[in-house]
Amino acid sequence: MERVSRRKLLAAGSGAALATTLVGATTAAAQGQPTRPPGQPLLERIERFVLVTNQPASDALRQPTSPTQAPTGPVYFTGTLWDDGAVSTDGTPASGAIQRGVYRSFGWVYTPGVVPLFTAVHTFDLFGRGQLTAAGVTDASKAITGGTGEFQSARGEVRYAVLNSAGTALVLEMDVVAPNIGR
Amino acid sequence: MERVSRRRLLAAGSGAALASAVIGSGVAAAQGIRQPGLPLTDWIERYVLITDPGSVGTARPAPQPNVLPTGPTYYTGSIYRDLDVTGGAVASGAAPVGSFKVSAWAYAGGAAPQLVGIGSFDFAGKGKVIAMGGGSSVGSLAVSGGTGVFDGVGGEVRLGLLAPGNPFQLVADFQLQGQSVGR
Repeated sequence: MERVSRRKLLAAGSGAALATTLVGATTAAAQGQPTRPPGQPLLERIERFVLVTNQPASDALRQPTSPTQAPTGPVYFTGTLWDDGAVSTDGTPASGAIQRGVYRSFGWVYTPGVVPLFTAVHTFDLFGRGQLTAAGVTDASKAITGGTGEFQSARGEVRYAVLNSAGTALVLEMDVVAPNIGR
Repeated sequence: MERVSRRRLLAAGSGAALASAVIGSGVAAAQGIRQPGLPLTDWIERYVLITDPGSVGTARPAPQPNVLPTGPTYYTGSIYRDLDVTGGAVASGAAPVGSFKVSAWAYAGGAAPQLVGIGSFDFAGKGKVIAMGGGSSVGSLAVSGGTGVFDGVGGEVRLGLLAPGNPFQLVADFQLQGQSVGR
């Protein structure tokens, strides 16, 4: 997981520096100090996680055409959240990796398949921190609609990219705008 | 209905004063503290949600009476002032102040189901609070927005059982952070 101030990203300037910061080698994380004006809270931050889907625990109202394909219609998806880099591309957590939370969503699949497209309410329950909620279609990003705990009244967006062709692991980038400083 | 400024709660100091402010006779409700020229941006309202068991809808058949199946589900019911409901009974002459509707997926069924979904809490003459998230009848939902006096609000709705073992009657604390002063 990384947390990077947007000001820091903007201050990074060049595309290469921006890419390095976003793609998240250890540089930004190692520096560890988001830039913020003195006395002001950190209002915007980026955190990155890997979502490993839990297909046996996910559910659909309609019968799937094959075990790995979500059908159209009402669905429930769930999975686990891990630190970025703690999960291999096949979705297997590294030895000693710590699970950071649980993902759940309820929606309607309008394009079925291994990586279905659906419109849904998403919740990211981060242990000891609170829930972050998002809503929208799963094309490239979803709008953050709020949260509980340290994510109370959060806004922003959750971006994602598929990590493997089986669709069992995804990289999530949470661009959180919040009235508090987070953890 | 009660509205209590968070600053007032904090300023109340002692446990007794805090409990009094939260549980709320009319004293705290009458005066929210705010800085001159600034709106009251954080307030708490407490209600009791009473679900109408006859109106609960599920897409899958219930395995037995009073046991909710997994899958898509719909709840609706009435919202009462917290002081109008005692021991699970609505006071004589008390009228609901609004109604709620919840569309969710029950990922764990049973007598105390766990859900992920979205709810609309419609307060007559004031507007709606929209909340979403996951969990059971004890937990928190994220406020994603609202209409009327709740236009633009954030915050969270904290839920708890009014009486042990009865998920059809819940105490709901609406901790709202808005850009307006509320009602």
